[in-house]
Amino acid sequence: MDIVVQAIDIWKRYRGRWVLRRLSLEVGDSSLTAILGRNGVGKTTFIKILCGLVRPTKGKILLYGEDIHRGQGDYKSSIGVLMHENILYEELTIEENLRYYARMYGVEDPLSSSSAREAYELLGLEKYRDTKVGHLSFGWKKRANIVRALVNDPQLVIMDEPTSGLDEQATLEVARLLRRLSTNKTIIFTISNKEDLDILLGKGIKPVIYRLEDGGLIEYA
Amino acid sequence: MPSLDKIYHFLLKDIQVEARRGFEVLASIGFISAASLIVAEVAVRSFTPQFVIPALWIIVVFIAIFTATTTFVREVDKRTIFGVRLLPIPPSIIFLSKMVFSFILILFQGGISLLILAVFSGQLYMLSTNVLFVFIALGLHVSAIASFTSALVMYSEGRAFLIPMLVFILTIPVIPLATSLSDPAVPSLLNDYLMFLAEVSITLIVTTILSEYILRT
Repeated sequence: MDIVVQAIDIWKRYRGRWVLRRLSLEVGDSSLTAILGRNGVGKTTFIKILCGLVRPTKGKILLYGEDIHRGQGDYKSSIGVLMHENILYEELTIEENLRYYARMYGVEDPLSSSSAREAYELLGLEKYRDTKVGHLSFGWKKRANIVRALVNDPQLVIMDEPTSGLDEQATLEVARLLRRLSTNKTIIFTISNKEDLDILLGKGIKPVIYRLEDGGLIEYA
Repeated sequence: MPSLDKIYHFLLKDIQVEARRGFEVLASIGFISAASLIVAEVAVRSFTPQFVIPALWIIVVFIAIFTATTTFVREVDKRTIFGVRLLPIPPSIIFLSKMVFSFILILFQGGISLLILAVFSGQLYMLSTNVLFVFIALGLHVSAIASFTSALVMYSEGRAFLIPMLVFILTIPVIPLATSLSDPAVPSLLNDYLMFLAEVSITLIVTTILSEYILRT
């Protein structure tokens, strides 16, 4: 199995505190990796480092063998990121947001990739396509953000707490989506709630699970 | 030209978002119209029409301060900056898109001010080619400064103070030249126009180069 992502000895100091220490991770092609951890342990910081939004104090992230913090950002077209917060424009509708992001990735139709269309249909976004994002509840914003992360048909999908704030029904839909995506994509996601993880595991998902603790990753039995 | 296509779509998105925040645009237009009317009224009553042009340029600087708060700063406030930074396009393209957006806002709102000042103060020479030329060139200059300032301080907690300070400091040096170029009583030489254009061009180039570094980090 080819290595897609390598986090090598990542250290991150934030506001005088070491949030991440000696964190290393290797993720193979078409695999599903879950990072479990309580609130405030550094999951979001690690996700931001992983997708190049934040520079680590020490260490490097290799994506397909290339250091993401050194190049010109070419890796960005091959990753899809779901952030913890809503990053869609609240003044625009779901349709307008998806179309805008698709065009910025050089894609004319935001649902042209099978993964984006599958997510769009599975998460039931059709009925809200013409609704402004600012008028949606947290759960629907989250679903729309999941589809946004897939408009460029990325090979690597990074999701920061895809199930947080969702009800059980929506969590099941996300579980179903993760299972389908993991057949041909590499997925890394974080999760803080053990019950949500159990729901995902109950849906037949078999991720490699790590626990983020004291700034490092420990394989979770 | 894929870069032009990206600038176009980025710009279109910004215009759509701005148009749907109509109350802010209306408030800004209201402020500019009121300020222009007061300046025109004072100029007519005190027989000092020569102050109308510098007043217009100061109003343009105020509009630049407003646009600086609507470009990168708003993306940070709304958290959409993460989406912007994840886009597979060079930071300089993002910066240029924001600059063009600022330029459109400045032309639109500054144009309203210019019309009000010209009509209500009776100084119709303000609609002459050389004033319009200075207006457009100054608009480009301040839009580059506004976007650059917005990018520079977007994560700063003191940006409410820093934006007006920096925009003022960086735009005030060109105001005297812009004023003399647009004053009908002062004959301007071709060299003066070229110098003004050179200043604007240097600002555009320097801010675009620096933005590449600022937005990457």
